[in-house]
Amino acid sequence: MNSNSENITKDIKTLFSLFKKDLKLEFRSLSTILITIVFTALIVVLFNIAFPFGVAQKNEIISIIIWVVFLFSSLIVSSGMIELDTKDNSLELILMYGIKSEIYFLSKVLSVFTILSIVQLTIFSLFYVLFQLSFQNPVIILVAILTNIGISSITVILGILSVRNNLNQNILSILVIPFTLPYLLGAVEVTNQLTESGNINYILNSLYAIVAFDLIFLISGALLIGVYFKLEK
Amino acid sequence: MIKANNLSKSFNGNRIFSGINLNVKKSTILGVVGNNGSGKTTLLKIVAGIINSDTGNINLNANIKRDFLGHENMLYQNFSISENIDFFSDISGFRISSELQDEIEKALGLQNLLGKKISDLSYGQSKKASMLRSLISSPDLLVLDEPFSNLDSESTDSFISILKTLKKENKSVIISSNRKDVVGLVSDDLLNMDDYNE
Repeated sequence: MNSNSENITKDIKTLFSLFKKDLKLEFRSLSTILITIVFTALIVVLFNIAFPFGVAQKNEIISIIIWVVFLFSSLIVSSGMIELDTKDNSLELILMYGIKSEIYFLSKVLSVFTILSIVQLTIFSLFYVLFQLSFQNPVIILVAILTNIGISSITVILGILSVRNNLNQNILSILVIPFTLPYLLGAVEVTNQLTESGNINYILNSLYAIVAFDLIFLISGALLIGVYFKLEK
Repeated sequence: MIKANNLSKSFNGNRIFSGINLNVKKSTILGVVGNNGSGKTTLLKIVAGIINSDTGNINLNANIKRDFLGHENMLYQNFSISENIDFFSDISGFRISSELQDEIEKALGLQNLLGKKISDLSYGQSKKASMLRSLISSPDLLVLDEPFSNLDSESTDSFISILKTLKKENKSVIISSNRKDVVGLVSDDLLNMDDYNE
């Protein structure tokens, strides 16, 4: 095995060690996941009580609510996941051992993505039960996964920057909105189409845009966090 | 083992220290003493490679393994001692033999606590757990920031005996403390940070 493939194998092993550690810590305490699910459930129930709207408006409004709830849930999840390493300064050790910042970033995105997927399942189940929302096309699962990747990347980038700079966590929720607008617009549009007609042809452009933004944020996030950790040192 | 010239560091425009030269040879213990705020932790983090200095350079052989033990135990509170050790060994890629690990655990008095969560340990026990974590990678240079703070005399003695063992095994140690009396007992050389403050 040449040194290049050895390095790649080592990086992948490290990525999964970091990911496994995050999940193990999270599922042991359940602190982030429980708060997020309770927050999500509260919002959905409140909307259900507040808006006894008719069928025509329902789908349009629900598509917006789904993704806004999801966005704010992602802030709680990413802060919780990043705090796992910053609370006791374990991050300093991780970086001292020469772990590449790109690998650290990707492991955090993977952890946030996994926890958010569980939150997403809860959100969609609640909407199905409380709003009788029917998803006529399984493509909605693909949309949920793609949007989740992008939002996880953005919130991890901003989360690392704000936690490492001791910025107030509230600032994260302000910073994140302009960056996630492309996702929100695309995801709302696609969800609308899929819940109404289930026709995939209308949503292809929005899907391509979401994939493009996923790639942009994943690549630029890995590079940016690398540069940031170097500057911070 | 490690040579550093003309190290200086500032934070937010305030110069913490300047003009520090270090030469730590194999099998030696360097004590770093000084008042609170004199920059001991900052210097140790520079030597450990956690942060960079503003000026100067550090000459260190690429094969030299460094490890750092900070003020905080830097361990995951919801993991047991064993889980922390396993995780950090996994990502560092280094691990001593299990016989040697048993010996260190015994010397630190941690044999019966390995399955306990860090959050359930006393301050002294968690400090020993982080000492175990830093020794498990068998570093050639161990950088210890205030290891004796808030430790009882029994724990301090066990730390001192471990430092002496490390020295015998050709390892080098840099240790900081504001307790000059204790550091003086184990150090071959002392660096007083108060002489480098502006």
